[in-house]
Amino acid sequence: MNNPPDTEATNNPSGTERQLREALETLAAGVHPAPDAYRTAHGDWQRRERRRRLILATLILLVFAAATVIGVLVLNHAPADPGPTFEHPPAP
Amino acid sequence: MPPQFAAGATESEREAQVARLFDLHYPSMLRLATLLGADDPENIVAEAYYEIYRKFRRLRTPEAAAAYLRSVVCNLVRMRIRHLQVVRRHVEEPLGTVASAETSALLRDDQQALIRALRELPARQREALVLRHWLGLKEKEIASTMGISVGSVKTHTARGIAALTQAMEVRR
Repeated sequence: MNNPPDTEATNNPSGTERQLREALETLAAGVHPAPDAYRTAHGDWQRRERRRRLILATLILLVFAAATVIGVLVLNHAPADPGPTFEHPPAP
Repeated sequence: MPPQFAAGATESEREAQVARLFDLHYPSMLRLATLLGADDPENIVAEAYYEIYRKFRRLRTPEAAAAYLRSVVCNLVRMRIRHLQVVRRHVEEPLGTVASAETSALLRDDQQALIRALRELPARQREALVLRHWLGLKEKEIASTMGISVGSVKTHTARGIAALTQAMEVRR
């Protein structure tokens, strides 16, 4: 559908605006959504949401495990002998 | 802070509301992505709806959803085009867009030239022109969608139209 150009419209900005509106409307009229677009998109959202939650849960578990291991290591390296606070005076 | 209309929505309510938003706005969002020059408008719009689906409980009003969708579509198309421009620098063969090839048959010669010139414009100018002349948004709404000031919208629109007018005059 290659018709001759609309010469009047190209001479001034308002003509360009009008021509732009027509071109955009024509172009938009040729775009039609696929009939199963919602089903496809919905399946994709749910898959991504499940993956996001799985990754989040794994990260939380990893952080918790790392904090526990660090805590255990620190406690393991603490001095075993009793501190001065709880030292009892020698019996007479 | 105004109350969020979807704050207490259950899972099934969220599904129903997003499905309703999909029915209402999907075709226009698909057209918007196409007009902005996206090579894969379906994926861009699906991604935008996923953002709505994920952040649904934070929406304040149903009307906010349409504005948010528009904004996300604009951002995603801009990012996608920037990505393609980087890819093109590293690939010898030019990458054509399927959407433009399919729909260009509907346009007259002068309209095709205008759309080509529109796609050559900087992303911000193209967005401002499409939002203004296709969606018919006001400058304030365009500014909100693009995340810029009203003054910048006026500048982008004026420069875009001037560039298109010049391109069409050169063509003659």
